[in-house]
Amino acid sequence: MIQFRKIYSLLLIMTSIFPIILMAQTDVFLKIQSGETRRINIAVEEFSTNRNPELAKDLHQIIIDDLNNSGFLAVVDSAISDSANQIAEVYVTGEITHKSSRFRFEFNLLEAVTNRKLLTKSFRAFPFAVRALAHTAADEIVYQLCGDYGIACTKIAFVMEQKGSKELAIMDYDGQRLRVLTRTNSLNLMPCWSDDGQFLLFTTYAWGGGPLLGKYTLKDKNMFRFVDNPGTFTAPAYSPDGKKVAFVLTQNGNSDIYIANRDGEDLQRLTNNPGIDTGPSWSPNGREIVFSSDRSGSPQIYIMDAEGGNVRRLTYEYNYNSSAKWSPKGDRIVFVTLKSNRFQLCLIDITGENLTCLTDDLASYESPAWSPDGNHLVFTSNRGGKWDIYSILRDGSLLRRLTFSGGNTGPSWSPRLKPFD
Amino acid sequence: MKRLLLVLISMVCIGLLFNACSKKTAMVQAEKPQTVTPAPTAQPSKPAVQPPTQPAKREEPAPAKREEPAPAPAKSVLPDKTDLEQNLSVRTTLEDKVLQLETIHFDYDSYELRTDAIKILEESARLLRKYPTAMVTIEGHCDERGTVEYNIALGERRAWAVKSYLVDFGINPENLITISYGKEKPIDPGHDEDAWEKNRRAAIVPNPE
Repeated sequence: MIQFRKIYSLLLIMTSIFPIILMAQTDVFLKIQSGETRRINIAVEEFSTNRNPELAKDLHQIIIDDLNNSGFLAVVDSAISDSANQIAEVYVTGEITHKSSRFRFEFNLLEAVTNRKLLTKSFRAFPFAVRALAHTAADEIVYQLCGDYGIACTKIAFVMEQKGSKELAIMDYDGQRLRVLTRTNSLNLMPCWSDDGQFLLFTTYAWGGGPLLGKYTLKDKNMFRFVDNPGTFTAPAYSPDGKKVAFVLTQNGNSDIYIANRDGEDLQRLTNNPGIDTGPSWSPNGREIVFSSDRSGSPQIYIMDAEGGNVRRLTYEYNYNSSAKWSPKGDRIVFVTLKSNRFQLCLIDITGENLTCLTDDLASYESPAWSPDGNHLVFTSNRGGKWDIYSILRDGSLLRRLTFSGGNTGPSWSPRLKPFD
Repeated sequence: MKRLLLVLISMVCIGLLFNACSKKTAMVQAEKPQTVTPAPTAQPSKPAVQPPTQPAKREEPAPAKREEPAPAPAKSVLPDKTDLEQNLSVRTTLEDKVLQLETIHFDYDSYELRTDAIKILEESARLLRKYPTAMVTIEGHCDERGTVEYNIALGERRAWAVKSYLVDFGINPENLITISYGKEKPIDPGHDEDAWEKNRRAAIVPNPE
């Protein structure tokens, strides 16, 4: 009887919550599924301001760029347009008011036909933080319309060549606000973000004697050695929950995959194979790891349990497949394949089916990494003559060049960072 | 006057170089995690390109040679300490000889020692046997046609293949350090078979001291 009551009350609670969930879902304007190319047409009206028209213009442009770059939205000129597919379905209005040294930005998101307000928000910031504020506002708009935060509040860490050394650098997802992090006069390679966006793990030669793992703390701007054990270490990868790290430990010339806890202790060996095993990347639920191995004679992609068991081969086409990264959505794995001496980006289902290549041309594409929402990829390519960082939607559209100086490689996409970071 | 100044400056520079080197070995030996100290002097990067005047030469005569500034002028800095001088000159001849060892090359995506490589390694082994206390580093390198992480692993393999051979030849394994640079330090920045062949290599270099 008591049990029945318990179940009954549980049911009551559930039915009372259910409508709320339903309502929450109707708040989402349109849930875009992956692979769908239709984008919501959105207009962004000019922002009114009482003092600084330059700032208003900057803010307006950054928000427009962010919305276009999200991959979900297409910014159109205005709500009234001749061409049928250019008509905005939603539009944004905004107002900037200056108070002392800071400014306040209030914006509304409205449905075009009904003028129904979907969202009203306001943020305050110093003028130098206009980019951070614009990215935050854009992310809120994308979230309201698509039910998922976009990429506007993310950063990309990468390797920047500098006079014979390779240092870690960081920039906004759109290539702006670039900053060099390390000054080691050495080689620093393959950065990877922790789940909270506070640390970067990477391969470094800064301590001499071979590659080791370095851990860079973004807040304190310093780097420490990660994992004290002897040997050479490369290719670190944080697990999605940040509690573990997979990496490659080479002993007696043989590279195998290991995991440790987040402090670099409790090493566990996952592969024990005379072939080269490298490039681990976690599945989003943390239960499996994809990696590449030449145990069959050529580098191919494999999946194993996070304990090292149940190894299965994923790729059979092409002779050189490597740099596999598991999508945060869980369904696809991106990797690079060597075709006539050039690397191309390919995607494959975790079942080994539906192999498709995103690129196939005379340039080379390397080191792919997923955006935290799993809709975008960032990589390095020499398609512009020099090695630079590019991003692309996972359907192969919206290719954007993020760096232009050359010598930029090994990108890694951050999780969504705190606004105004 | 100007000349005197130049000599002075160069002496100070040499002093600094020695300083930097000793600091570096200290860092290598330290076991504990540590914050990185930005190296006071940039490690001289290897001269990237071979002079185009000698394209016929396959094996580059140890390009690292040019980055070895110390020995000769060091003598003039320390003219009195004959002991040190003697040690230094032994070391210098060894270093010179090590640097003159030919670099060996590999086939694509392979760490197998070719017959031409074995010939060179026999030469290297004979030299190292003459200096039983000499510590050297074996560097493994790859061409650009491989991913960053895979090439570091492949470079380890190549360095280890050389080490194993030398150990079989009777060299003390503790005197042989292996390090892989993957594709990060190409000798030839080109993108053709010629450059790739040059870059797929293992080189024996003196340990930094």
